[in-house]
Amino acid sequence: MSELRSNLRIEFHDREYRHAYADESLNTFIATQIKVLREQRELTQKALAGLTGMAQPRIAVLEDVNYSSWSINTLRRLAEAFDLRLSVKFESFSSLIPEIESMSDSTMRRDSFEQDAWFFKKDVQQVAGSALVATECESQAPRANAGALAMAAGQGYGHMKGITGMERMYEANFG
Amino acid sequence: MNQKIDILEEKGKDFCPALAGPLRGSPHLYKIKVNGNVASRLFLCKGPIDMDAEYTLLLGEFERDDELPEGTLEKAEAYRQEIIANPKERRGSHERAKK
Repeated sequence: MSELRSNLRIEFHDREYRHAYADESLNTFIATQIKVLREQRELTQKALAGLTGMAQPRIAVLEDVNYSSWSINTLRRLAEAFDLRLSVKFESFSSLIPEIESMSDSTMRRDSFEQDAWFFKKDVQQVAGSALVATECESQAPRANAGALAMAAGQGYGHMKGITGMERMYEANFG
Repeated sequence: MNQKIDILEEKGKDFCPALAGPLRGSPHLYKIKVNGNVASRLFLCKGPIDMDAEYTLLLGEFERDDELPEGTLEKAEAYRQEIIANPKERRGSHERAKK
């Protein structure tokens, strides 16, 4: 077990400590991801400010890991500027540790809709950052349905070709 | 405080440049801000022995009204110089902050 895991496994038994630690981690995650996403799109703070209707110093504040007064509306504005969806979830504390361990530029990058390969490309084997896998398909409509089922079952889209695959997926999900 | 030190230890400053930035006028010194009931500030430096693989915590202080106690940066820089002069004797393993 890593030193980080060993430490947090003990320290998180203190309620106040674990909440403070998780709050600080959230601040670090959000601020860092805003910067990573901005740089992925090759935007300056000023350019992002223009897209969100905020002032440049405000963007600098939002990229500061010491900032803590997040609002959902501000994050929504950023999500729209990045052409991403905003996801806010409640999570258990144990999930924080792998999140910290896997945190990197590459795990924080997200493709905007126009770069989201799953929506546009045929013959996609693996879409970065997701378990979604696609193979060549004759029409878009059944592909989308099959993809949704594959995601729900935690399996790749490529596992399901033709009706046999669909039946297998149906069994996995509902059978 | 532990969260920020953990991130620095796991990821390094380059991943989170806002976590510990070099100070104006003291480019070898970095400051970590820890906000809470009191504004704790940790002063550290990269290396100073292995510049690519380690940080050394030099000094902890409390900031009041956005002001550090007089001589804080000078003291941190003096500690850095002591470590450079005698790294084995002047450094120890990091002790994790406890409540």
